[in-house]
Amino acid sequence: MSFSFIHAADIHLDSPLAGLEQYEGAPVEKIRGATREAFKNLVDAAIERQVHFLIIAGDLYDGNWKDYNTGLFFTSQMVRLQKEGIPVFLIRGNHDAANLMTKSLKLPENVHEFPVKAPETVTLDALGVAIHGQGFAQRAVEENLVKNYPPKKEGYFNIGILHTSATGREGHENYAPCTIEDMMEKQYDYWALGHIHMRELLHPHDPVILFPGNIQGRHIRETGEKGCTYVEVKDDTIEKMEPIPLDVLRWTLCPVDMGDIETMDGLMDAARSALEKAYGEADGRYLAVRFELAGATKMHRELIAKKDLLLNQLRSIALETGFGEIWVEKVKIKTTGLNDADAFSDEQSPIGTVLKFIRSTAENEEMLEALLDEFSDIRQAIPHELKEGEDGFDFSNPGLVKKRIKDVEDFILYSLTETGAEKA
Amino acid sequence: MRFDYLNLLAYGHFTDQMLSFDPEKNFHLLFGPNEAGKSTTLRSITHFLYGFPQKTNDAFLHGNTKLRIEGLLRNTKGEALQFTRRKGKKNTALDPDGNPVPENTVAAFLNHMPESQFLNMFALDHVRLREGGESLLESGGNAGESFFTAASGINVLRRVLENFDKQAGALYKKTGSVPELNKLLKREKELSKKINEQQLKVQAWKAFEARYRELEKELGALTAKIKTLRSQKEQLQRVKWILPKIANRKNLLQKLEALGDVPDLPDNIAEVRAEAENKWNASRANLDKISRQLAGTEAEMKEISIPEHILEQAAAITGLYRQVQQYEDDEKMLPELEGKKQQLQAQLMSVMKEIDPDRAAVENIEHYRLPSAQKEMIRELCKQKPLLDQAYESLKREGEKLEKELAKKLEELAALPDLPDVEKLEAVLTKVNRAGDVEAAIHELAAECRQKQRQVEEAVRALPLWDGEAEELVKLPVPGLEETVKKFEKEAEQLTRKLDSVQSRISRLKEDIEASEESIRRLDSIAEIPSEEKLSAVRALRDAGWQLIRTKLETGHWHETAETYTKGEPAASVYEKHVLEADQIADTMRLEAEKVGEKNKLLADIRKFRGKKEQLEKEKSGLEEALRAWESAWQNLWAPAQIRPLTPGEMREWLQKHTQIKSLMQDYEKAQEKMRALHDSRADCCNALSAVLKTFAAVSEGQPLAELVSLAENELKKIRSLAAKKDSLETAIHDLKEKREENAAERAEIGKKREAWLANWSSAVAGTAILEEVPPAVAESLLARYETCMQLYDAYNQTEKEQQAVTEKMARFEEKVQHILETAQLPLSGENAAVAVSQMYQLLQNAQQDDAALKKLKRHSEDLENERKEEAEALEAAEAVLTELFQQAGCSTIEELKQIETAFLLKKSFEKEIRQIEADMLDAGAGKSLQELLDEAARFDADSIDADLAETGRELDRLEASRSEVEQEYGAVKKEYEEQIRGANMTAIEAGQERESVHAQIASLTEQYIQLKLAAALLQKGIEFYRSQNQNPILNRAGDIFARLTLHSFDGLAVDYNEQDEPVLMGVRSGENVPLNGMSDGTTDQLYLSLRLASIEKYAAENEPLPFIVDDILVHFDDERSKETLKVLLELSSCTQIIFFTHHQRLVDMMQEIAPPEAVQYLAFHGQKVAVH
Repeated sequence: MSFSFIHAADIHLDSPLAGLEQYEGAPVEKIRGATREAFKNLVDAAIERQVHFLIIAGDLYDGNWKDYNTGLFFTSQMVRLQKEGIPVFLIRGNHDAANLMTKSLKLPENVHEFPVKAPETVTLDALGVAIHGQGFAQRAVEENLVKNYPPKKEGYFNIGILHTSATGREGHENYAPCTIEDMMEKQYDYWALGHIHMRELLHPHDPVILFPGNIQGRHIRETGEKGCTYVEVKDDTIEKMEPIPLDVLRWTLCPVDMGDIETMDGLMDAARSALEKAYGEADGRYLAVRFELAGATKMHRELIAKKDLLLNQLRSIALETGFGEIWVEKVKIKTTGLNDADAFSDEQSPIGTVLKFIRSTAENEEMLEALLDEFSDIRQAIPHELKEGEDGFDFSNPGLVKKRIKDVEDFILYSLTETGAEKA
Repeated sequence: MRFDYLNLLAYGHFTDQMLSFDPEKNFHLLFGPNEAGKSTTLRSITHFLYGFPQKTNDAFLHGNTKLRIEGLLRNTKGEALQFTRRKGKKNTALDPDGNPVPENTVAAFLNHMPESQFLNMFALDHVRLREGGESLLESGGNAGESFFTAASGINVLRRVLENFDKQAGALYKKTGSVPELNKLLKREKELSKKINEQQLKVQAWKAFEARYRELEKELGALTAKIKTLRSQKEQLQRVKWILPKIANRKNLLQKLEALGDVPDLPDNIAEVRAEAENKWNASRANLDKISRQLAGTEAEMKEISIPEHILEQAAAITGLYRQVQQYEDDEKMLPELEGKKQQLQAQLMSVMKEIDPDRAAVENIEHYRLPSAQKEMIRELCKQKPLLDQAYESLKREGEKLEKELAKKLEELAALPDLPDVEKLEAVLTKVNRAGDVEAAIHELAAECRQKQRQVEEAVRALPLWDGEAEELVKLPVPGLEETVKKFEKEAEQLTRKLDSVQSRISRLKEDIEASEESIRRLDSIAEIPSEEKLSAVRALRDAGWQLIRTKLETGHWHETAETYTKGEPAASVYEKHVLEADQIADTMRLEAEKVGEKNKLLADIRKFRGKKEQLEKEKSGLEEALRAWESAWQNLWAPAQIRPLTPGEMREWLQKHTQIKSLMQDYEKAQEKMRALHDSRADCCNALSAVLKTFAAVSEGQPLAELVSLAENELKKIRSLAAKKDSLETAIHDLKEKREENAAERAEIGKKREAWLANWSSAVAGTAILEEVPPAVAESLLARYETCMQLYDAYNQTEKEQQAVTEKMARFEEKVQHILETAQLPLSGENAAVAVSQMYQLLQNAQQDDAALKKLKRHSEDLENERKEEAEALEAAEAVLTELFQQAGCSTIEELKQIETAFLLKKSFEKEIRQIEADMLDAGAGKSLQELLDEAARFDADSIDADLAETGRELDRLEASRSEVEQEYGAVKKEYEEQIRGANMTAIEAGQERESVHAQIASLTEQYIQLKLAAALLQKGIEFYRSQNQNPILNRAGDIFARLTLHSFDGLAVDYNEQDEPVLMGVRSGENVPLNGMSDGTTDQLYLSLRLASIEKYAAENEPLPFIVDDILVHFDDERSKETLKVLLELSSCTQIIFFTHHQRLVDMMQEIAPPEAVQYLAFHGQKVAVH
């Protein structure tokens, strides 16, 4: 018996792309509804390849997004598959569990959703396939769901669908943890996993255990190609596993080594060639780029002081290179100075004294607390979303000041010396 | 660290330029004029220490790769570093062997100080000094900023701080809408609202979907009901419509039956029958008419006969007839041509005779023909002759005229007199004129002198303390310097002010003493306040009493002093009285304790006040003494001038006036001097002029200059006019002579041309009737006759030819006529050919007309015959049709046929009507058969149909209306449903995306904002920290330097607090604090310099010292202050090397004046020693 199916996960339909500041020349219009476009691409791929079924291993929606249009859109895409006679098997992930839509949406008959209280097995007798699955009942599922999955059905090709963090992955909540051994024990042929956004093959065969990754990157931590996996089975053996890219906009890091760069022009040249490379690799997709400048350079302080100018210049280079298809997300300055700034602290010179003082504040909790008072106004004003998370502005934490002191020192030094000193 | 030497091996315009810094000296004064390369040398110091910048203007003589600076550094530990600097990216410092010196090694000698910081701290020029002064002012004297700015040399500090604030303000303000973050935050709120509004809520969707289904159902029910009603209505309508049709049909069927049997005939029987009948009648009439016409035509044809032989010649006769006119014209022309021929012959003979009568005959005509070349030659020569003659005549006349004119001019020249030499006169006159209008100048100056003299006298009269002459006044030895008087004024003012202050303080003290005494009196007046002394005295008495009583109790005896104590009274009562008294005093004191304290305090105050007053009085007498001393010094100052001075202020004014008088006096003297010079110049001019004029005209002694000048000018004018006349005559004579020669040459030329003409003429006229001697006009007329002769002969020939041609043409015509007459055998005479042709032509035309008429008649007869045949056939056909009809109807006459025909047509019409009615019924019968329809109609009551129909119609209208309503609503809902079901509404999603972007922008701007705010706060705190660490040592030292640099106009520096409680730097003058905005520009510069020098001194004391590079900082300083500054710098050089650049020799001189020779090294930019004066 031969058949084929597509395994996808973590659609996060209609969730916005994060961190993209709008600016003149950015492809604002072109990336609207990127997750929708990617999802359409998924349905297109299933129809084009005439697969026998489609598996979605959780997280169709974002938990906090409550627009019913999203559900209706999903249904309309499922109807397309229904017309082609392609069934869909899906489970709820942590995000779906929290979303109101999941519970209220009426799905077309070709879509089967597995229960959340206990695992269920669906058999496709014509293909000889048994599919086992269980969804998330609430956002945080901490038990090992695999344990309750039924044993394999003899004489069938067994597929397990599961939303899990497996043995834990950085940047993802640790839900429904399980080990590879747990999964192997069930003697299934294929474990269709979801939850981890980075594509990862946990086990290559007998069984195949695979995270296909999400279908569209949504911020700079989700870089590279994104899509689903196409699987071909012949006589109960997996013949082919092929990743199909579905993303509309690709996220890329563009590192620039500043080691040998001494001028703004040199920097722009290096950035341009890095960008051209990334653009070439994106295969005609829209591109969101983060520049990361690293290395020891004498331009270090200038970069910190002229960050704004730098960003604008890089954006205009992106515009030239990508004809309006590249979005510069951010410029991250990770450079260091050559060494003169440190030498100041050994000195009695006036500026050395001031710098020594500034550096000492980093270790002075009382002083850091006092500096936080400078931000009492803006602290009230900015939206709470921006105060949360790792990079959030936590104005109650002296660490906010502490981690910026080095940059501020470089900024002050640049302002005082580079702009004021007359070259004889 | 210090420089031992610096060698500009290849740099700027220098090559191998050595600056050797004397190791024994620490102060190096580098002097050079402008353009000598001061700034290049200055630049070379930093380039040597820190490397060349990427772009340099110093690579014009030596290329970038060739640039080299060499030097030797030495630190206080005695370590030395010698290296050469080249331009490049890496390894730019090389040791003497050419190996790279690590940059860190060089940096160690510079305490690892970066270039910008080195420049800020250790390089100073007057521009940066002035900037520094200004930045102190801008900071409002803020102590922290002032110390930091001056010490670090970072003059932009204030601007940097303001910039931080400004940029942060542009990003965010607590209350505001313009800053970028405020705008974004507002947008963020709007977007959140929009998302909430635009999101499709689950409940909303469910409700909407239910509504859609409900409407769908309602609409279905309505439609079904309408359908039933409508079919009911249709049936009623059908029956209503059919009933009358059924009645009509029945009626027709009855009529048909009544007609009985009728034979079948063609449907169009009436037409067929009428047509056949009509045709038969018409054909009969036509046949008769045609027979009559044929008989008439035959008769006409017999009457016509035709002459065939004339018709045969028709073409020839017509041709001749056309030529008749030409023939008659020729006949007339023959005699005309003969006449013309004879006339021409006569003319020709006459002309021939005129030319040569001997040979005049037509046969000789060839003798009268001349070749063209000969004719042209004669004509050309005829034209030339008159031109030659005219030219010759005119030259001859011109020659004579020239001779006459020449003779006249020579005569005039001989009449002119000899002219004298005027060169010397001209020279003297030019000189005098160049001296200008001396007389007028003298006059003007004299007036000016008088006015100046008056001014001086007026000023001297107005000057107080003096009644002598101006000349003496000017020589008076008065104190020269206003500054000195100012100093006295200031001293007097200070002394008086101090005295006043002391006096008023004494008065205040006196008042205080009186007030205190008054207070004591007031206290005492309320109740006597016992003093401590009094209490002690009473207690002593009490205690003495107790001792006596105690002794008595212990020993049983009274002490010997008891008597004096008791004074006879009982001891117990005395003691008791004392005890009581002491207690009373103590009680009073306790009760009045406050007053006691107050009194004690007042007494102490009075003592203190008195002490102070005494001290002040001493001070006052000291001040009075000083005032007296000042007064005598003041008088002494003026003693040499023997003037008793008034107050310094008045005397300052007196001195200014004195100076004015002096300057007026100088002006006056200058004017007088100028006057004397002018008098001398006038005398010189007169002498020179009269000396030279004597040779030309009478000159009297002492004649005024103006007269002399005009005399000289007149003479000169006369002589010059004569000279001009002579010149013009000589020129004219010369010209005339030249013209005379030219004329003679031209005449000879013309003569030659005339001879040549004559030779040509002779050869041209040879062989003609023209004689050599005839004038050209005659020759030309003869030539014309020759031509006329030839033209006449040609015309004669032509006429003769024409005559022959006409005669031949006429003969040919007559021949043709004769020929036709014979051929056609016409009975005409051929004598006159023209008449014969006309007659022939008439006969021909008649014959042709007859022929045409006959042919026409024949064609007509044939047509008639054909018509007769056709008519006979038609008649037969009509008869056949009628016979057929009779057979069908079973009759034999046309009348019988017509009756049967009428019955047949009626039957046809009834049948047709019945068919029509049945067809209509079936059409409206909705597919039912005729019988079904008849049955259906039978079921209804005809009378109630209308009422039923109306009722059904009303019900239908009602239902339709409500369906339309439901349909509209359903349509709208359906459209929306179909749109929404796809989930294509992305408004909220797009707003969500935009909000994400706005968050990103807010995050990025907040990051900037934090950086700016932190930078501002940390920099300010850092500076404050610097101040707290360094204020005291620097303030004292800077204060000392400041006092010296301001020549003790200030005593020092202090830090005080302003209204905002911020520490502020102030100058101290006469014990008072002066804020920075109360100082002049120069003073703030000196303040900046003081802080700067104190900081460098401190730095040098605590670190390895770095050389201080000074570039002409004294530009704005006066000599005294410059000297003081140099002294301070000289002191500073004891702890650090100072390299002092200047363009000004005066600074070199000043340095030599104040510094011992062993302390300073003088260097020119070229490495040579400076010239020492």
